[in-house]
Amino acid sequence: MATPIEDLVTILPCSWPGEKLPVMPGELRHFAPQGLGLDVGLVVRPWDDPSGPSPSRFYGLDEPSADPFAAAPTAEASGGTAYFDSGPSPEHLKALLSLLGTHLSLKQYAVFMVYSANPIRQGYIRQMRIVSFFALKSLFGVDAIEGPHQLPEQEFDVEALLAAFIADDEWRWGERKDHEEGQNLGFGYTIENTYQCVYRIWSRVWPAGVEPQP
Amino acid sequence: MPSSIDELVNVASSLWPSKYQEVRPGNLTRFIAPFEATLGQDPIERAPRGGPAGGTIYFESHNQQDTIATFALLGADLALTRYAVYTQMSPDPMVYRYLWQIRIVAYDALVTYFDALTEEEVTALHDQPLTVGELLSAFIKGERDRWIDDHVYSNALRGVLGGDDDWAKETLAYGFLVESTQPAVYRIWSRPWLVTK
Repeated sequence: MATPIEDLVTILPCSWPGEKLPVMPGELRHFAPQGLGLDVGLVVRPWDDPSGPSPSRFYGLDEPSADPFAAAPTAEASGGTAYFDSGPSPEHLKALLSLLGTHLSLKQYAVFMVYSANPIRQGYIRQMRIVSFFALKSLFGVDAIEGPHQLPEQEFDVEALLAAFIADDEWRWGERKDHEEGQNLGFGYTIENTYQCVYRIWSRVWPAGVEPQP
Repeated sequence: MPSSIDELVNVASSLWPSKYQEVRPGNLTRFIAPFEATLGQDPIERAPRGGPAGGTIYFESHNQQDTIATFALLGADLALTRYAVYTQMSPDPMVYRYLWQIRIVAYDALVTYFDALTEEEVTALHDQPLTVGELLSAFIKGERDRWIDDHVYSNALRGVLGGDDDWAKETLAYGFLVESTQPAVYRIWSRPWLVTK
């Protein structure tokens, strides 16, 4: 039996921090955009054209896109979404996470989790969002380091947490008897924001419908 | 000439095969569903429904071993030699967000996905001299050699993504997309990104 995620980290309720924010970090229907997301003031250097673009434009958020080329982060080399089968070797998993720009040793993060009521229709069994304290403050406006919403540093780093999620869901899948013959377990992993360290992992069922067509 | 790839594998014309097809395999403005832009941005909804693997990743390739391992995890058949290659230079990297791309299409996909050849016609095609894994590695190295001239930044890419050469300077990264795992259809491209102060 794998160690349940709930025994490794504190899962925050989706309503955390308990007050209404413009975007709740536990609202998993939406994905954070890429980009540095830094609130940099207007920068105008002596030699700049005052009516021209300010360098501060480099520090904003990227416009989301469904086009695989345009969806790449403009101010980061790494990111993206990977789908993979259950049972990845630790070496392959670490290679994937590293290549996509995951901050593997991060311990200052919050965790949110949602279970699907209909895994086939919704495309996931359960999903887990990892949000760094930095992103909580910078993207969502919640200070998790100081003040009333302070959170403790996690005992497990992001690499260990993601590996534990996979192991836990593989064990759960083996225990489940409600899936049909031929259905298998797989995973999805996406870097919502590379710089701010916002990550999402989910378990899913495949095959889950008809094959894609050109 | 950007492409030493031309010297390594047989690169097909964008109009090959000549049989009429609604979507040609050499039309690199189109993607195999679910990667068509009209299908939305939600990565959970865009997962391949028929298999476990796939995806779109963006990366630098400082560690070739990690890169190849990741391609394999995404379901890429790195030993494949029976495939067609299409290439396209970007007419405007600022607009199209890539520098150069190649699409790798398994011969089987020319039959099943694109209805461009018959099984008999595919049987007569020659194997490529490189495996898919070797081709992907050659592309990454070739683009690094072409664009990176001072270890980090690229003078040749200066300004192509709107960088001001002060607060933001262009350098090189890559994208890789598994359009289909079975039959294999892959896309790899070089792309500029901005290193900021």
